Amino acid sequence: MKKFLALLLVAVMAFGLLAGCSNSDKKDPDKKPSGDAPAAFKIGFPWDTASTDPTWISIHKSVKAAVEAAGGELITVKTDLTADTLINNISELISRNVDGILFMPAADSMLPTVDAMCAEAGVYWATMFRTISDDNIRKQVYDSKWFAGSCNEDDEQCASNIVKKMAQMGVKNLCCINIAKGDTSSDLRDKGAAKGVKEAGINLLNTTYGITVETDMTKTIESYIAAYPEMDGILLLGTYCPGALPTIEKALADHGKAGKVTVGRIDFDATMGDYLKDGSFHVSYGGQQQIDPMMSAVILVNKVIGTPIKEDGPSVIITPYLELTSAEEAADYNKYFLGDTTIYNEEEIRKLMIKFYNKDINEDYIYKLLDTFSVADVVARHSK
Amino acid sequence: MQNENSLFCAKGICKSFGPIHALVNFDISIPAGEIRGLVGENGSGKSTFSSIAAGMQKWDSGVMYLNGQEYSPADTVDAMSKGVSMVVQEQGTISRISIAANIFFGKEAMFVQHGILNVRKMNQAAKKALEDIGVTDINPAAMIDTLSFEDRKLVELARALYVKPKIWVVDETTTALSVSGREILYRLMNKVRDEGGSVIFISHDIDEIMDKCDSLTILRDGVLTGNLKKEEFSADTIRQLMIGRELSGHYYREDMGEEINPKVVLEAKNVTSGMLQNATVQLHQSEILGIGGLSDCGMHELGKVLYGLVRPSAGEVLKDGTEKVRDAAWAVKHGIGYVSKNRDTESMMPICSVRDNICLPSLKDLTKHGPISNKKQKKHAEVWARRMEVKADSVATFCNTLSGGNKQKVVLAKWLGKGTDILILDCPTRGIDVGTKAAIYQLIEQLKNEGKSIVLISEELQELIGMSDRIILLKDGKISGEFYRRDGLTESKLIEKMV
Amino acid sequence: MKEKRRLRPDGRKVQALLMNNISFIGLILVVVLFEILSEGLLLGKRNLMNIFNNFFTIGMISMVYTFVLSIGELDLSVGAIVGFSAAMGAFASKISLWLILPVAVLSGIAIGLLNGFTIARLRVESFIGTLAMSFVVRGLTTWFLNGSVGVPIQMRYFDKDWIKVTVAVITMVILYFTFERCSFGKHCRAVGASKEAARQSGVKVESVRLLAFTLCGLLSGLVGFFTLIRACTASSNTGNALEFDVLLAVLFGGMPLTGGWTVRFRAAVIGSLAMAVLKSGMSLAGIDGLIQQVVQGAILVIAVALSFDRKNAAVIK
Repeated sequence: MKKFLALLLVAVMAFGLLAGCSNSDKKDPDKKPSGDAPAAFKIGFPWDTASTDPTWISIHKSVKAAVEAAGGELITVKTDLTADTLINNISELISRNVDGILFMPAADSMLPTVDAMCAEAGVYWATMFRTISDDNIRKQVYDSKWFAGSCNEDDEQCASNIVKKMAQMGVKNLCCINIAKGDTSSDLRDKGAAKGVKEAGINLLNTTYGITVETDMTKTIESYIAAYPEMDGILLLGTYCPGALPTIEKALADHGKAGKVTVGRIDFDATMGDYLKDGSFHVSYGGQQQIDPMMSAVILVNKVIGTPIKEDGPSVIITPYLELTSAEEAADYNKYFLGDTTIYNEEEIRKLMIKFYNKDINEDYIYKLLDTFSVADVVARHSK
Repeated sequence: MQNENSLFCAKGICKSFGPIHALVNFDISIPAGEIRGLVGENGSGKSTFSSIAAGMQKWDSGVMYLNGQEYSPADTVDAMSKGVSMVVQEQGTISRISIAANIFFGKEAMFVQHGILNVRKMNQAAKKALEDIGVTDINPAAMIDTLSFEDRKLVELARALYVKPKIWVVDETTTALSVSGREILYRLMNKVRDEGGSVIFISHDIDEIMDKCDSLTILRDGVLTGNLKKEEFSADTIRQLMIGRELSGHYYREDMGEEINPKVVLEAKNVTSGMLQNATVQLHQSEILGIGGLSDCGMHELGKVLYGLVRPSAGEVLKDGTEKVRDAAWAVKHGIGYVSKNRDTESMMPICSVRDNICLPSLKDLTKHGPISNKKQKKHAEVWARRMEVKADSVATFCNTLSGGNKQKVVLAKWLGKGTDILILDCPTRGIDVGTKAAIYQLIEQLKNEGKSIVLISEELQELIGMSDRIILLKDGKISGEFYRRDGLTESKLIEKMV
Repeated sequence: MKEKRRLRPDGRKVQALLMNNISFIGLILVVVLFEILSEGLLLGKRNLMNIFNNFFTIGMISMVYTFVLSIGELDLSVGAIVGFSAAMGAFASKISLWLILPVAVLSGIAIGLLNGFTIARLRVESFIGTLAMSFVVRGLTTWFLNGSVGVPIQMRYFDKDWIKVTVAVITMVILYFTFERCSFGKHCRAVGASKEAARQSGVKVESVRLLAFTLCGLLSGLVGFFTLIRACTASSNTGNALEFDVLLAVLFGGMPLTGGWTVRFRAAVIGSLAMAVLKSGMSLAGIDGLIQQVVQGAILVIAVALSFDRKNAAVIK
């Protein structure tokens, strides 16, 4: 018995060995494009590689594509995205001699620490998805020569736009659902929604915060239906509740409201297509989950290979939200954003985003590029 | 031995556990209609043999015959179906299921109809099984946990007997039973015998063995040392065969008592707790104070109260007339020791070495001159284990591998090592072989002579009479009598005050 | 079973030696395996400090966990205590930087005392009591912090390797000494082996349990301090799921969950080291996150199965 277990232990370790080998297929130097290419470099990226969520996988792919387009190697380490673990991740990455580190910060207050560690080691760093709310910390970080830059979205604008879009679709009396108060994105989206409501001249009946389970979601929708018979629009500003959209649609259908209430949400998900098709879901703003990490990685890569997008100070780029209103678009989103190919393939990244290959690149160039970015644009480039 | 008309016989049974030979070429032959006593010191192999016969463990070599057929039980259920059932010393019931389910454990198939267990039918059968052994006041549908330990033993008896066994093994069951329970057991043993079966009866109580058995088989260190017929029974012969030598010196005390030292070292003043009502007891310097009564008269409670384990609801316990005994930790610190009636669960840590058990109360003393090292602990343990003649390979041996008598020696060594002046012994010889019993009696006497004071709580009158300077009897929680050794003690005088 | 007994004595001895040191052998295996897999990076000078940093948090708590486990209890609130004391330390930094350490440690002691009181006096099962405590403390931390609170970056001065190595070594020596050479450590194991026997032998069972949980809180508070100054931020998920890392580590080291005399101090140290090496090694070898979880789980089950069925732990409590 014991012998068997001991053998099993060895077997598990051997399995680990094989898994390790299959993953460590390193980029060969001869894969470099002919002609001159940037010197070899390594980018470190702490990410939750244990997640099987298609969006999370696409984020990792986008970063990887950006790094490998410029001939770099991406070193991913597993993290749970808490501040303590990220600090340990960064320490490990530094000791593995990376040239730059890209991560999603857990809090503003951890950034000075990261900057100190990176400055000590002479490693560039960049962040994705998050703004810096704290003025002192923002100033300190932006002044650092090791901070390459960051990407984030204009949550406020996005929320304002989607409200106005829903008003155009005929919504007069709107109810909202949002992430817990205190979250940076939640607060900004709230502010934007209020602005949109005011500008479009419609009523905001109620907003519920911090729903994390399906049963609460159902209860909220049912109480909206009961309390506001005049309600003709529901906007999901953001949520951490799994299966949020199917839950809302189910509750509406149960009360015979499906299709009669206009439903919108910020952040794309994989289930939108079906509801768009049967007309019970109407509009979504999102798509930033792929472009944001890719742009963040591009900013860092450009800095590391010595061709920064902006010569003085960090590049802080605001990526747009895409609008999605049809089942076809939803299907395209699933296929081209969450599929095997990234939103820009390596060749496109080299041509459009890496300054080493394209001397014309600067912040304006990038913003112009982002203006052309849409679901249709990705489809046009990749549907062959 | 090669008796053709024997009901059960075994030839050349050997069994060893690692280097220890528990049974060596053991032969036994039991005719039908006999109660056969099986005696020997702890570790002599009698329990090993009975558990082999009942299918609880395998043997290394040898053969057994039942009714002339070769008998080789695969497990207890198999043994029971072949007509051999057993009642064990330890608790043999399964918690959290009903009494009926306990009685028919492993036999539920008898009551399955259309794939469903007919609980009602099983309960009825259980009720009948209990009535058969003369127990009428137990509801078989109730949970086993609602019963007292003694009643659970009765349930075990019912379980063993409803199959009408040809061979019934009773392994040291009497110590767990009350007087009325014992009567039931004896009656059942006779019933099995009268119906043509045989009983293998294991007990430490030589008087009981001599009284109840038709013949005796005696073991020592796994080897058969003698078979005795009823007419050959004598306590001395039996002891001699068990121990292999004349018992050196005496068994109980031989002196006739002396004047009791007036100095009171420990006293309970008007103590009320549980069963116990308004009891006042004083223990004097170098006195052996016997406390007796029926098993639920409150004497065990009194021991715990004296030791500070139980806080009395009224009254107080004082040491040396002034200091209040607060709790067990205080008592240990102030030289009081206690040996519980439930040795394995309360007096010692079974999954733990002899060394750590002996050192436990003395750890604070061992740290006096710097940290505790293994060497220091080992030395301390070795000194006291040797003094108590604990039979173990080394002090690193785990206590759960020792026999009952040796475990008790470890417990006593622990208190001797601590240097306690007052020892409260609750049934110190319960379930212990004659050899260790004698050693414990000698030790108690010796401690007394060293000036230590001892409270001896016992259910055995012989023991109390044999050892005590003074005996206090309890009845229904109240003190019902006090007797002095120097005035002469007899059993009949005591029983009068007990019941 | 029979075959086993017929083994020649020397064969049995070798087997026993192997079984008794299985955790040590496991550690060596893990080190050798990942040293090869990571092409020598694992034991590189810089990575050793990463391993140490991984070890520090888990190891400090594992070592004090020895006491809690030896009395046969669990503490599932250590992660929450780390988070709470880090948060309290962060608030204290607003008053004076000198207050961070004492406030963090005292917060840990306070929660530890509360744990001990719930379990020793109110007689709540430790599994439930500390789990409930972790919810309460986590909730309080989230409520107080309302996001995250930072401390001045100069506090990173104390996140020096030599300081942490010194702290870890001193802690290890003190705890080892307390566990193996003082009556308190022995009393803990006695309580774990048999509460009643310990009480009857003069051990103050309730005090021992109270003290074990308080000690656990103290060390968690200290770890909370070091976590705080490492990231210079306390957030509501600081110390998240740390209790499970610690449990994994001690089980990996071969610690029996039943408590009692078979608990060895070295199990905590070896287990934490093995966990730290495993984490660092799998990361260096570029093993995918999903597979990391599978490997960790599988190794744990095997390690527990191997270490549990030792001669003495076989008896059910």
